[in-house]
Amino acid sequence: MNYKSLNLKVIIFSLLTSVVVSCADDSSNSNKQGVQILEKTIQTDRDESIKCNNNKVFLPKTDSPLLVSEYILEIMKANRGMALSKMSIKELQGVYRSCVRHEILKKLKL
Amino acid sequence: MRYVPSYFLVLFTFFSGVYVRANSENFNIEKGSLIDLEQAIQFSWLSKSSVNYGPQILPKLGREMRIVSKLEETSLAEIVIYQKEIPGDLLDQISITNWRKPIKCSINQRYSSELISKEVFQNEKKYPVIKYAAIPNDNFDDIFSDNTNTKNNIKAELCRFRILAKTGYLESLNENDIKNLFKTGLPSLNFEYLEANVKSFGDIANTYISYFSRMDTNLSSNDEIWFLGAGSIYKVPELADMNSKIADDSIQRFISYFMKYILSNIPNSNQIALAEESLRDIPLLNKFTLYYYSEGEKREL
Repeated sequence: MNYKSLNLKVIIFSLLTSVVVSCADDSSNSNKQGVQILEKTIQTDRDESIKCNNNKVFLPKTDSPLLVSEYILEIMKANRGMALSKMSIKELQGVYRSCVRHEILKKLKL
Repeated sequence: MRYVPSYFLVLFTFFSGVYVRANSENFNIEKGSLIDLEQAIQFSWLSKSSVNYGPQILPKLGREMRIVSKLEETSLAEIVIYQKEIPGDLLDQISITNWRKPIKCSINQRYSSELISKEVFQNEKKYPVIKYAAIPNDNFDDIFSDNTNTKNNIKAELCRFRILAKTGYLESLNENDIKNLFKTGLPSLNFEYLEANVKSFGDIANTYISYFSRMDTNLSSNDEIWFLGAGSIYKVPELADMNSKIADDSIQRFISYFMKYILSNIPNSNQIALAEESLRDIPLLNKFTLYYYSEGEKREL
């Protein structure tokens, strides 16, 4: 019996398994993270403006700690009359995925 | 036959006393004693006490027609308040564009008893009138005598107010609300938002339902769904222009109800099930309600 070859197979199998498992975990974490994000508190002491998919999105500062759900509403209100307010649902989704969510996660230090 | 009173007259005479309750003191106003009626209304207005007209056993319609007649004779500016809750299905049947149409309405002028009686009668079929309030013309003039434009605007708004009231869309307004309405030149009651109260999610929701139902739409997280739902405030004119006193938590409730409505109208999917879970405790509504602050107190429109 070639133990070396067997060990290699075991190692490769383990690696593949861990990759698959970690991917699966990521996916479910992503969903769980969504719930957690809405319930988390966010505070930022300065206004920011980011460019995303050729659109300018204004991220307002918070006077006090806000839930992410509240902060998202503040973003919407702060962007009245700007690019965000003129987007279709699909475009909004694109901007959120590409940039806004990332910025929120950054502020949450996640 | 000329001297034989009709049954209507007999009934009318029998029930024609106006009963006023002010604080703990009860007193009757004689039939046809118009000055007393006006004083009683003023007294009630100033003392924030309630005024009940007529014995409770008298059919509402009869009482209201009689009161309207008396108000007309005393030339009081009149506001009719409906307190009955309107069923949701009825709201759906009423087109907002219909009740935005200008109707004959003038404030600070005498109404012909015929016109008012007719309106009251028409409304009675759908919206029972529960409460009346009246403001004397003199006070109205005093408050706005310094600014003609403001006064005209107020009159115009009051006209709309009256339309809203007569169509049964005002709920739970008390005397203080109306007092504020006159005293502050209407900033505490924004009629655009009163109208918003009866709006259904309608077309705005359909756009979302259509997008979320598509096979190629992938919704990855609750916060993403919330973000998309929050974008709906740009689609609702009353919310897109939010320089008003609409409370922040009212906007949040709007989004929650809106999302609940959308998700409940989409075939089950795993992605959406997660979002539905977070909206589990939100009631399913087909219309949205906004709140505002009046003298620091949160009120439902």
